[in-house]
Amino acid sequence: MSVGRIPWPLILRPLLALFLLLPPAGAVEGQPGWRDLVVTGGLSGEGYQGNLPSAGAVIQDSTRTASALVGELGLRGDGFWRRNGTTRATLFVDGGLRQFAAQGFQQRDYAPREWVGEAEATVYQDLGNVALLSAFAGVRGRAVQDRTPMPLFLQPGYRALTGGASLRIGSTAWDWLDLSVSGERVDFSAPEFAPQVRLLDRESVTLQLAAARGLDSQQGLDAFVALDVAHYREQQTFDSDDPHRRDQTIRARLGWTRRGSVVARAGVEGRLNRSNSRRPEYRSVTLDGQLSTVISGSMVATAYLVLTAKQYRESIPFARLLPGEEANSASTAFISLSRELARNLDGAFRIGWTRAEAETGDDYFQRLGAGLLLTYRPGL
Amino acid sequence: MNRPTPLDPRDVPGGQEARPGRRGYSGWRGCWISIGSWGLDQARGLTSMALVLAVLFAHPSGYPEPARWGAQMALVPGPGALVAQVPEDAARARYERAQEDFLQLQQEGEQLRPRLDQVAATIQNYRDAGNQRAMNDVFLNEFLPRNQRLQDVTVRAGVAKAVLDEARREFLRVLRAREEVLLAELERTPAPPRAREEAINRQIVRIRQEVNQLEREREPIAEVGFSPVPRFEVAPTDGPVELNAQAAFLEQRAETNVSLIILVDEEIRVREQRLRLERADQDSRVGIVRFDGDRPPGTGPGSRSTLGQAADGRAGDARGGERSFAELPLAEQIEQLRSVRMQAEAARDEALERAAQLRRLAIVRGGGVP
Repeated sequence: MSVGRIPWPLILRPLLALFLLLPPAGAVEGQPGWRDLVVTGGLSGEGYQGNLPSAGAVIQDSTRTASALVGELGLRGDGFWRRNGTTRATLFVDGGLRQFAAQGFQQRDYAPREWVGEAEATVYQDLGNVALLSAFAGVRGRAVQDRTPMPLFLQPGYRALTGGASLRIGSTAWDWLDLSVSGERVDFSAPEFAPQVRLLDRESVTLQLAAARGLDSQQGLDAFVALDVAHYREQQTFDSDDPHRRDQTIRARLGWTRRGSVVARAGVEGRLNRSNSRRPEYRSVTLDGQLSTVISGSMVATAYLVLTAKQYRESIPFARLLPGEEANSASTAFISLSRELARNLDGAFRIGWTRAEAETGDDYFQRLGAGLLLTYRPGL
Repeated sequence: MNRPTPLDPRDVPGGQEARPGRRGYSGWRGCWISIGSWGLDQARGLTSMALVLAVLFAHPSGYPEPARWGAQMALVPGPGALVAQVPEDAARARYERAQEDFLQLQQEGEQLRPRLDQVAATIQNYRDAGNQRAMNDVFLNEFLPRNQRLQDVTVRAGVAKAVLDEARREFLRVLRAREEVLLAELERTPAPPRAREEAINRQIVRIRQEVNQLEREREPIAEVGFSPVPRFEVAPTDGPVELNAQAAFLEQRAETNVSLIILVDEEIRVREQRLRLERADQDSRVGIVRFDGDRPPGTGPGSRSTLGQAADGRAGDARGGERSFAELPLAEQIEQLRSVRMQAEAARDEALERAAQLRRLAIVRGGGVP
């Protein structure tokens, strides 16, 4: 059953046209070009565990474990337009397709298919070499066909429109300070038999102050503090004076990056959520780290780890969360080994694990998978 | 509909008589009246043309002057007005400005080249002394910025030369057209007043002198080519000793370039490795967040992508002004280093070839094999 209502042809055709029109990567200054253009394709086997209910899925299944063979294709581009040696505009596009062959469910075998796409364009204006003003607009969406019941969680389809502006200025204590304001509207594609997914439709505004500074030629710090104000137009509070759900979330992060013979990244991010409705209010903290290093010749090893701890203000057993959304307390780990197979073509072997919160607080499902991924950079 | 009343019969469409003092004015006013009298399609056409002109005129440097003049000319009715729209003084001023710009860049390049050679020699000295750290330091902090500056000057000089050539062509066209106008005036008036005839003749002579001068300057002038290998003029009196000394000097220069190539290769290797790592790092992050099911906290819809501008510093090169070598994206640093390598290779080969020629000549002149 198709639950995706995103006008993919309208999104994908202009993107395809852009890919065809723009010159190859590495184009000379003064022209548009791609800074990075990547085509990926891969195959993986994954196992899922957790017999959990799901309000977001059309059907329920009593299995505790399921498995799937997954094929994926992806395309990513980081384009720019320069004039007089200065970047005036950038375009980021990313899209992908995943096809599952899932089995192990009680009712039947499923073959879900996911389409995802994202495009964001940013224009820059240098303000007297003192400040940099930028404005961006983007669209992001996904569509899912033949969604599976838990524990093979696939987020429902949605379409998100974003836009905003930011002002970046130099600073004595930091290399730059970046004040940005952005807005987003998210509309979920609700399955016919699960209209409750639409409860997650929302508009939000984010005010963010970010900063970065170098510690030396290879290391740097970055930080941000942000306030998200989200309005859920489909959710009632049952309070006539304040009828719709509104959430405020304060987020703050401090990160460290090292770029040299080893690329390393570590950070800590905290979140404090408050709502005017009887939805779960929580605080959470996430530690993340990533390490990439050359182990021999062209072989690169990458390790990635995210650990999240979440604490609810009060227990509300009846409140249902959507995994990956409000239930944003996933922990993830993966290790990958990649190496050059031919000119412009890299191959990678990955093992990954995810533990994410399900619909009711403190219930988790897990995913464990291994796969091969090919990465092709045409013209680079 | 309120329609502006024509102030002069020549202002209506078809009235294309050009008056020296009012050409631009009557041309524009003609356009304005046309909007009212020709109808919507013509008005659309003129509006489109006005937009194109607005872009051309507003463009600070993207289009050369002739494009602007061409656009101006297109508005002026009649071939007689065409020439007068590009005044001689303006064409001369533009040519002189273009010449000044080019010569300034040429001079700048000539000053930079020996400094770069000096730094290359310093690198060679450190290499001979086995001081790797000082060699890398000089390469990164002195050689690369100077080389970058030199390349920038070379590129700008190339553009300036194209502008100069175009300005010269335009100036010549203007002068020749002016000469034709003056000759036509003499032909039209069989017996002009003597004073007027003399004045016209003086103008024609001056124009021809100026044209001749421009034609001479049209000959290939010294490009801002930075030949890194000195050219020795072999005198007929040069004997084997002088020739072998010159050859030894060139071989030493070739050796300096070999040192440079080794150094550049290492810098390219380091940067390629870093680029590989950064790409692996970025590929991993994209792999995680592309399909939302595995997104880490805070990166679902409602949170801007971690790949956005603020996160990965794509705004880094959106700042105006010159960027240092270290501030360039890694891929561009590698490109520049490859360019340096190619230059060094070419210089090495050229120096060795010339040295071999000098050695052969030394043998011919009785020097034997040194």
